[in-house]
Amino acid sequence: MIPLSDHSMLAKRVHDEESRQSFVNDFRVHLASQVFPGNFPTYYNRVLPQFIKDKGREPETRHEVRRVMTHDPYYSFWSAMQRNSQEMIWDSVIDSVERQLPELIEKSRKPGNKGSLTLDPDLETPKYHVAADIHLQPGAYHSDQIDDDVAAGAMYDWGTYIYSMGGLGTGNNALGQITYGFFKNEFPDAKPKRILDMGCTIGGSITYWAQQMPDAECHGLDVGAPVLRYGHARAEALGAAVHFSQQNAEHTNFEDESFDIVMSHILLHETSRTAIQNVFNESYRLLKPGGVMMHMDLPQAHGQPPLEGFLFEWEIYNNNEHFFAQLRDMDMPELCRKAGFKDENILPKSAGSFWMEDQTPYADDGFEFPITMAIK
Amino acid sequence: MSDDIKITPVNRGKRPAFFDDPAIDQLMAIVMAMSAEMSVLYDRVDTIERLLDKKGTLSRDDIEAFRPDQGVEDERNDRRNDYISRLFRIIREERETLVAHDKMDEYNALMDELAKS
Ligand SMILES: C[S@@+](CC[C@H](N)C(=O)[O-])C[C@H]1O[C@@H](n2cnc3c(N)ncnc32)[C@H](O)[C@@H]1O
Repeated sequence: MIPLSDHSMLAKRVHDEESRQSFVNDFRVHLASQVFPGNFPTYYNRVLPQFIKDKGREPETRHEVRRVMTHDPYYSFWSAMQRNSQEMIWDSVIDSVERQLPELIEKSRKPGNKGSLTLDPDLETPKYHVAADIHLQPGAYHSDQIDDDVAAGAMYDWGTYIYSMGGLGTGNNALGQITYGFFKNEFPDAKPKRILDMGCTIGGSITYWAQQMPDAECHGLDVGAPVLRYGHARAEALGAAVHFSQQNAEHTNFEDESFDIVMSHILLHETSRTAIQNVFNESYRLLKPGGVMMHMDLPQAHGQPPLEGFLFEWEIYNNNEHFFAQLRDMDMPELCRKAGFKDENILPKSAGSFWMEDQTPYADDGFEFPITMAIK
Repeated sequence: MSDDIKITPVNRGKRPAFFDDPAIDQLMAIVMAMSAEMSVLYDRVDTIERLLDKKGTLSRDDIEAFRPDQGVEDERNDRRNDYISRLFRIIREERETLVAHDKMDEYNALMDELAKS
């Protein structure tokens, strides 16, 4: 595994920790490239013929496929290993973070002063984050165990990099690279002055934007304090000016019409049915006339054949990504309309991921991220 | 100081069951954890061998300080991938059997039958 590029907040790994993380990474690459693809012949040769024998027809929905595939031994074995690999990610990053926590907290107390950090200890963590630890990160994004905790951020930095098998790039910022490239392509002449990234976690994406657009005022908000503390110190360590604040994206304290861009990167699927509409309403309120909203998230179910649709939903049932089940079928343009955007300004788009130069590709092609875009 | 900070490696939320007997789920977690430790141990032995080759002697500090350069990391990646392939030989065999039958004969025959009825 090619390591993340170093910065002063990154938890350093001792010899064996580095090896253990490399193993988890390679194990996941093996699962993705060698074991997962076996689900296709399993389905077509074993599960589907049996289904047809029993019902006299093919499955019509991904839910029907789920009911039978989850009993297939090959699928179950892959699924169990995939779940284990996810648990092993966190297990492999905890030790180094735990050991260095006092040091990391100390560093984060005196970051630089290019950007800023505003925390709100009274902010309530949304229910949809307390019920279960999303993608199994122990303590999720918001748990503070000690004063000025940054553990959740430090774990997220290494953890998501291993999760993505290096796909987030050695700067852990591929999602930001994708939206930035997308925006430049859609609006080559735009000069946004004020940019907001909702659900920024450790600021991987917005920090990248700030590095590309040093003249713009870049803001990142999130509900989790430890990820924001870490994200702020990380951005400063990278020399980028980002203003982080602890707020709920559903209702922020920013003024009406104060941003040229309001965006998010894989935030939506970790919210709720009520919250997602609130996020769109809030995006509309915050945008200047002519401003651009871009919410990037995971692919929806429309147009996916039943087997693909089912396989795509593994994380819902096995990785605590519960709301993704609902997002899969939601009408995104309708959310925009309800938020106040005019029909002709609602432009659903998508942007492809790409293999990073230093990443081992494990499938034939990348991944298409839908971007719900609308102009106010 | 770090003694009083413990990040508990458990997550909230129900753990899905993959097999009828929960003991199989637990055994799989144990086997995977052991596999990881074996790989860690192998890298450590590799470090020791490399240091001995180079200097003929070693200290714990040397081992801890050793970081694979790109060439060494590539070799280790290859070795790890071989190792993982060996671990999952039985799964590959199953997959290969399934692919060998991937003519969809049975499926097509069934569809023909259905079309007739
Ligand atoms: C998958 S992460 C996003 C990754 C990040 N945007 C990036 O580009 O690296 C989802 C984040 O959304 C945050 N979040 C979820 N609901 C939120 C809300 N209502 N308001 C603000 N942040 C929220 C979570 O705390 C978490 O940090």
